[in-house]
Amino acid sequence: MSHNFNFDSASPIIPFQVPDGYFEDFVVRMEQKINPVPVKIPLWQKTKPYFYAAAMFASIIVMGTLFVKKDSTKILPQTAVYDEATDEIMLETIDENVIIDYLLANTDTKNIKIKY
Amino acid sequence: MNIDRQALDNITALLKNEQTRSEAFSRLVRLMSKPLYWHIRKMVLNHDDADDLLQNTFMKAWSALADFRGDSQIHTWLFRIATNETLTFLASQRMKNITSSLEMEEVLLSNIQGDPYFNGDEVQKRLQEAILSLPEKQRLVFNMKYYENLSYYDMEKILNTSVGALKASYHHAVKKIENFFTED
Repeated sequence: MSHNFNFDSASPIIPFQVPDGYFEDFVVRMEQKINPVPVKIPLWQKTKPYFYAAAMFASIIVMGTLFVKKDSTKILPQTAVYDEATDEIMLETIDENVIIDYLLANTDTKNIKIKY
Repeated sequence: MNIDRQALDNITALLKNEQTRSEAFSRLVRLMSKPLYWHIRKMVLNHDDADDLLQNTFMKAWSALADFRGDSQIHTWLFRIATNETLTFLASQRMKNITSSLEMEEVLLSNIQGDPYFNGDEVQKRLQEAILSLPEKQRLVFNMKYYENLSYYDMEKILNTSVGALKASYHHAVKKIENFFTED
């Protein structure tokens, strides 16, 4: 197919299009690029890492304290109960005279003043 | 090409002041985005490529504003940046297609055929094909004179080529295109 082209008669036509609103959108995009809006970081966002670190340390301390307390409440009362029970059992089984003799033999009676 | 020279002079004055630079540059983008876009688009043909290159042009201009001493007019300076960006892009595309059996111009032409933003008739398509057959620099000169109606004085500043050489280049381009149509 032959098409003649005459520069004298043909007025320049740009045979291309752009998407609707392209140039308006382009100006906005360029303005945003040359004037980037500074992103405002809220105080909460800034302090977040410190808050998390503090929370982590606090939880470690609380957990540690609870763990130690739990252990001590488990062992100490049992020992105490065991010791008291042992004493009671021993005293019940020993004769009263034996105890008096033992105390007399092992007590310094020189400084004891008896008032009549 | 109708560019409001008075507005450009006002913008140029505002660009020199740091406090008004940003606003002046926005006005410059509003005024120059269309002529620069069409200047680029007629060389790369594809809209997305033209959009990228137009952005690069303005970003380079923005970052080099401090270096703009006003020796040339602001619009010829912008056209020069856009032309350099476009030629660099075309060179990189040519390198990418170096292993391809298709010539760069054939690739560009195939882009037109599938381009939803091409609305020319058969004669316009043939004209684009004829323009693509020109050497790159001649293509630039032809587009700038025929479509954009830029003065030879402005073209001299943009392409750094003498007016005589530009006139000869345009004349040769017209002859080649006419021959392209008659030989067909």
